[in-house]
Amino acid sequence: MNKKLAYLRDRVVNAYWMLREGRFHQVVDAILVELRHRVEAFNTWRRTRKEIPESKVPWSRFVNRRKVIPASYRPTVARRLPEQPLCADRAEVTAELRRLLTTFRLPTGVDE
Amino acid sequence: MSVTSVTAITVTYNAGEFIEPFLASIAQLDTTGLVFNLIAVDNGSSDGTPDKLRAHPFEITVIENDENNYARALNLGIAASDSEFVVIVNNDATVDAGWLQGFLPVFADNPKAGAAQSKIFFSGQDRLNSVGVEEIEHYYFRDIAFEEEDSVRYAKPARRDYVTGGSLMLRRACLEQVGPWDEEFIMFMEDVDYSARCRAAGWELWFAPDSVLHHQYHGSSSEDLCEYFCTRNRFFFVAKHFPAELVECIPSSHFYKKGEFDNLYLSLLHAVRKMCVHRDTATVQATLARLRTALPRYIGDIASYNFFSHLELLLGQRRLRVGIYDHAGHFAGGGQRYVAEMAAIMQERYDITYIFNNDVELKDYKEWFDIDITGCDMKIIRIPFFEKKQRYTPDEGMVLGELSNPFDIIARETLEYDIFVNANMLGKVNPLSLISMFVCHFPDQEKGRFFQVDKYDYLISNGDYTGGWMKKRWDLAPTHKLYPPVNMYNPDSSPEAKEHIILSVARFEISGSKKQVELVRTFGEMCRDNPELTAGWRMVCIGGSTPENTYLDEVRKAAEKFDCDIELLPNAEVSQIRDYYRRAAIFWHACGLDEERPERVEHFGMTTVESMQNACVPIVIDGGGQREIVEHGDSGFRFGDLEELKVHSIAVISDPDRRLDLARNALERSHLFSLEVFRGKLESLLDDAEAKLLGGEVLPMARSGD
Repeated sequence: MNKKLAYLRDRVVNAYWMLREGRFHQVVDAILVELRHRVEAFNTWRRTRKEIPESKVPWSRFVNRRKVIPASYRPTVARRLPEQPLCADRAEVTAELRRLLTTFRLPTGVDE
Repeated sequence: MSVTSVTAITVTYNAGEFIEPFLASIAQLDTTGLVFNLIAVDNGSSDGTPDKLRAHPFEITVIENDENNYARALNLGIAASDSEFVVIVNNDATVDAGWLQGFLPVFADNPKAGAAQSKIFFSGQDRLNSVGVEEIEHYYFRDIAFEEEDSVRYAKPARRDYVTGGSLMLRRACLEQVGPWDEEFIMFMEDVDYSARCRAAGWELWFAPDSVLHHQYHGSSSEDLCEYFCTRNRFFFVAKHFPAELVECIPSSHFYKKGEFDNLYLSLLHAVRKMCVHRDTATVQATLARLRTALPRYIGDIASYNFFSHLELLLGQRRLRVGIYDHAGHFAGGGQRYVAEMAAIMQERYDITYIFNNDVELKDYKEWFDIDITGCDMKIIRIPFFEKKQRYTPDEGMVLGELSNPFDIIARETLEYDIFVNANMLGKVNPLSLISMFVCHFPDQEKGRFFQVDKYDYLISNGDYTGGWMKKRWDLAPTHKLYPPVNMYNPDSSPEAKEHIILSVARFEISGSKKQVELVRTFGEMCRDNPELTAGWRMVCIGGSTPENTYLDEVRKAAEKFDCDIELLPNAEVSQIRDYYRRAAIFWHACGLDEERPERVEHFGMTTVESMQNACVPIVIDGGGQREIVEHGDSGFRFGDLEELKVHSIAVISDPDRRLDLARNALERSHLFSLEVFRGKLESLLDDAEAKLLGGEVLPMARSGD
């Protein structure tokens, strides 16, 4: 309840200052932002409820599956390995790895 | 009659309940015509197994392995032996009297026989455990005749493709040609790997039916352990011996089927690294190309990208790349100084890129904090969301109803680094790097939309106060505590050479959060009420201030009301601050007094430590990070209200001996927060991160009581 009251108080204080300084458009903007937030929260809830495939969730390509899913039981601890001689040519394999890395098409992180 | 020498090697691990029957059966062995000895290699038992073995009447050579690794233990035992034959045998078993002799005809009749395994029964049953090992499908293996009754089919020696290491005799010549057992397998499937290597070297593998052992199935390892290592080592085995099949092994692996993607990723990664060790360039390149196509289906694009980048790092062709993001890096604040100290240490061992959202130059840090981070690179990434709103500094509190996370542009950038450090606790940045660190100075924001902090590998708090609030607000426990480094030592400072000065060092915040008005009033009242005791004492308030600071005027007015010596020094030079620390006997700090909101209480208190490093006696607010710094009554005092501040101050002023003791203790205590301690803890954290990135694995050694 305290959190809700604090939220209401912050909103009222914001509105008061915006009105006092004549920035009416900011009042409208704030209401729109709040509205979008509610709609998005509802949509997220609806999506979760339906359990649609992960690939259809917006920005799913930013989901790092390795880390999202908790690590399972692993009885070992990590330690530094000594560098080993390779049968394969280290430089050639590295060049191939760098080439393969350039073939990934990842999102830029900016809405296009 | 020629004499044959045989060494039996058994690996023990908390073998208390098995070892007696095993040794009793070994003592009954028929060793006619043999020179036999037993070596036990202990993998770090916590139940006193090595001592029991040494005290046993049967003569046993005991070797203690320095890590809990079965394959390594075998190598240690083999290296310590020089016999013609070596038998490796599980000790959760008993052997028949003819167990040893039963191997020998197979070797005598087959000069190319490199290894032979026993007929293994389940302990106390007539059913068979193993008469050899065979592949079933997708490189899963099983014991031949598992749970079958013994029959005439298993009465004669027979060739095998694979044999089990549960009871296996090896010819010395074979061991020498094939080489040590692969220690990266740790346990399970190391015998399948060795079988394949023996055959590749031209040796034959045999089943010796006259050698009989009774095995307590999985008597010395848990099922979880078995499943983990069998699944992981299957990838290792296929990568070494059948690399073209590696990609096909992914969907049939237990890790994939059970959704254990972390294990899948790491096992596959080290399997490919092993492939580079054992196979030629063309094979590796072909497998990589197939992985590039298939892997995103199983672990997604991001983790696949990480996989290839991680592999590049594992092959040792580049230094570790670290990205440090500070959205407020263009300000000179305590948080920036903290992270700059981290960067200064890290730049010695890694390629560092500082990521900012606004114009700043790294040489500014030298000017602000006297920290040289010019060995780092720098990148400025503007965030369109805030640019449009003309916000100079990104504020995550403004991100409310957006459909996409404005900080995804930073998330994308994190992929370019092996370690990403979110230096100024921007909680909406999704870390996609291999390892991620979140440095929290205080959890200002509530958990909300696009909250990503739970995705970081390391959560670093600047102290218990911050750590406690991370738990309360975010339900996340910090993984590491790293106190801010403080380095204000002055060789001329001494507890014995102090003047009658009470010092306060804190910014003159316009909000009054540092409480200088209250401190000045308290000093004035103290002088007024105790004129004789406080004669000759003065107060000095030092702190940064903005021009036309109304709060500074307020402090000044408060000081003028009292007839005592109070000096205000806004924006003093560093040399002047150092000089006052050296001279002052007492240090006051009250940030957080009468505050209800936790963020308004001093989260740590670097100036308190600075004063202690100069042997001042700290009398500070009993709240926030000050509780961790000052031990009440030992290295200073903590007060709950201004009356207590007066009482403690009068006590210190009136008793010079007590003051001296407190100052000495404060100086001693301050070492806990020194730059050297910070460096040591940070380096240990980085060692841990490096081990995760560049390491193999090892089973932890048992501790007594485990």
